Amino acid sequence: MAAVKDPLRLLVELLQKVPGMGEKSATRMAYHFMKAPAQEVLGLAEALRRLKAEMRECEECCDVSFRSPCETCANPKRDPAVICVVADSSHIKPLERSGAYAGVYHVLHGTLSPMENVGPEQLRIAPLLRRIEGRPVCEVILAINPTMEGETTMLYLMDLLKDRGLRVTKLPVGLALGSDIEYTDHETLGKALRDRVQVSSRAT
Amino acid sequence: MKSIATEAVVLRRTPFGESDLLVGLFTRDLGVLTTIAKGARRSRKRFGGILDTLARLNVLIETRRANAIPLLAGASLVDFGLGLRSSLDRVAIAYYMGELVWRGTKPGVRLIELYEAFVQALDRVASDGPMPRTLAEFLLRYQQALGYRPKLDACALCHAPLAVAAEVAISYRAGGVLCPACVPSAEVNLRLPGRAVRSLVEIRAQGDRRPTDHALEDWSAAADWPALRHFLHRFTQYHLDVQPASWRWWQRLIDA
Repeated sequence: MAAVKDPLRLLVELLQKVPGMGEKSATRMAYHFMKAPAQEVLGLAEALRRLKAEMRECEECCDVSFRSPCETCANPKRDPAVICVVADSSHIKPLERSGAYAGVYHVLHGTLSPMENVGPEQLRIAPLLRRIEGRPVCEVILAINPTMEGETTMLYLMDLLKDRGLRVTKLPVGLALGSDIEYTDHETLGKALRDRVQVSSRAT
Repeated sequence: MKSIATEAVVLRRTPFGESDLLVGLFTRDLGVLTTIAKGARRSRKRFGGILDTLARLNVLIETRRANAIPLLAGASLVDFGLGLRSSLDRVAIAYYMGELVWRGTKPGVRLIELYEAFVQALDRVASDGPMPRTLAEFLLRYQQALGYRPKLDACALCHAPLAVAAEVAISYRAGGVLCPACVPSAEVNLRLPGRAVRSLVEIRAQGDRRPTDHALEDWSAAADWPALRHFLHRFTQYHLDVQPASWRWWQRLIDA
């Protein structure tokens, strides 16, 4: 007969698989569930079950959503001619918080990583191209982290999107609001200087 | 506890635990090693955004117990490698060289000459230097540093000096070029134009002397680069049993 695992230990083991969750936090959480009202815990279990059963990728933007097309893609107030490409679903929320964007999104679900053998096939690049070919899109904004993997992904996309009659833009790299020049690294400062913007024209 | 200050290039970054980052480094004084950057993902105060792949840093590494992962106690930026990010080719070559270092060298083994070769090659690739020659130089120095230097100026089997020829046979198993007399008794893996082999000998003879940009542009073997690239890669793969994922990625770019 197979040995039955202690449910507390099993839960700690499973929780540790959550990204960013160490043994201490997993144990703390498991004890919390043990003490919490049964209704609350069963509600969480049901939410997890529904998450697996009902969440899917939006057929338009590849973001995970309860319905397809997702709320953003189905919103008539959003401009479908401007697509903001992000590496991960979690990057949409901060961009929305900025209040500066009214277009739609496309989620790649990762970045290219040659050393980890993550190529274009592993990302949602083909759906992006299909989307661009099928609809009148005027601008693609690349809002991907400026890490080496992120920049590699942007270079790859820029190469794919050139000659398609699109405006392709990317978020500039430079000083963060409230930061201090004295404590900013020289490469970021150099990039900020090279990409400086004109604020007034020379007096004649 | 022992603290070591050295220069290093970041080769790998892997999230670890709740807020830490495992950072794979190729250091000047300690070879390749994996360090742990505590809290690097939670707070940007200590490291900012500088722990990025292929960034060159001055690092402070603290070793604690014998089997514990060394602690990355501090880091400051030397070069972020922004020039590498100007084209996919440059990125692909930089990743390829980095992966060879990571997979082909033993952790903790000091390889200063290879470190210098790697950093020089990254600089040249980042600063618009011609990439084929830079990569050929790096691969030759890589093979030499790891003890698998291919014999190119004399037969790898009978050691007879190589006569000028239009085509030269190569055997990975024998360890380099073959003279016509030894070809029938050896396993020949490929044949290279004689001028391409001579250009590799010339590159190696120049040693650490940094050629001028003019010399780089005039590299006589540029036309033979696809064959040379194939040879240098396969020879490395045969002797070091390294199959870099980034090579396949780069090949896809070339094919596209």
